[in-house]
Amino acid sequence: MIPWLHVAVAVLAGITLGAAVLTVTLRNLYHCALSLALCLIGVAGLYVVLSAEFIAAAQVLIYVGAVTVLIIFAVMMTERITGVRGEAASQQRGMAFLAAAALAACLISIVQATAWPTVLAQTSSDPSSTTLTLGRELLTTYLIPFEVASVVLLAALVGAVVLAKEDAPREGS
Amino acid sequence: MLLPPLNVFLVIAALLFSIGVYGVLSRRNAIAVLMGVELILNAANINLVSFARFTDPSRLAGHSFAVFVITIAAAEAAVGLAIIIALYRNFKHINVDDVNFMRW
Repeated sequence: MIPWLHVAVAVLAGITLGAAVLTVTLRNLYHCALSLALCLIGVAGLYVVLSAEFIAAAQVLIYVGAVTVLIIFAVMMTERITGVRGEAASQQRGMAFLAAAALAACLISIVQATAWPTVLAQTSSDPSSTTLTLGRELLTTYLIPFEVASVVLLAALVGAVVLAKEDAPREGS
Repeated sequence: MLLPPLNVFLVIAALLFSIGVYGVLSRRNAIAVLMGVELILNAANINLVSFARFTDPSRLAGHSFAVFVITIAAAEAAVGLAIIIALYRNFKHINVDDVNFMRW
């Protein structure tokens, strides 16, 4: 019998990591933003495998739907005006690669060396239960952080408008 | 249906995190740096959700934290891109190597 979940995780991990590598290496920023969207969709698939349906839906709506579009708008606004393509890569690519590879090796060796709890790995959960539990938790245990998050979003909204808008015209004009 | 063990998800997240770190370190364009930060935040979220799946399915603290991380990441992206656009308006470029006028 084929372990379908293993196959799904392998495929999703391949999509996610491949698109992530393209995101950080491609020179055209449009293509970077599009592969970022693909990578985020792969992460949403991983959430589905981990039976986190609400997080997966939020990921698609917020990251793929909003953040990627925002990034593409920013790319258009900062490239179009002069027509100059921003040179994407820097001189320190070798050092950056070494640092990232060392970090990855360090993290993976720690992950493999630690004895993680595997108690509940075998239970298959009810598809609707995680969303129900999450909603109840958000409005009981995490009520104050939930409300603070809405204030943070409002502050970020106002701050982004203030930062990005044109300077006010001088008095009398 | 057997899930792969927790290690697999943590390794995927660690690789995604490292790719994001590489993006942040190697790019000069501020928008590309911001994309690397998004990858890093997503790696953290994969960790949170997989810990929630493998430890305590009755509380789902990891899911709640993932929701908050997504919220703050959206705010961060909005403010970051607004700063980049303000930067572009003043300097006509968004090269992070050359924007050091506030360095002491």
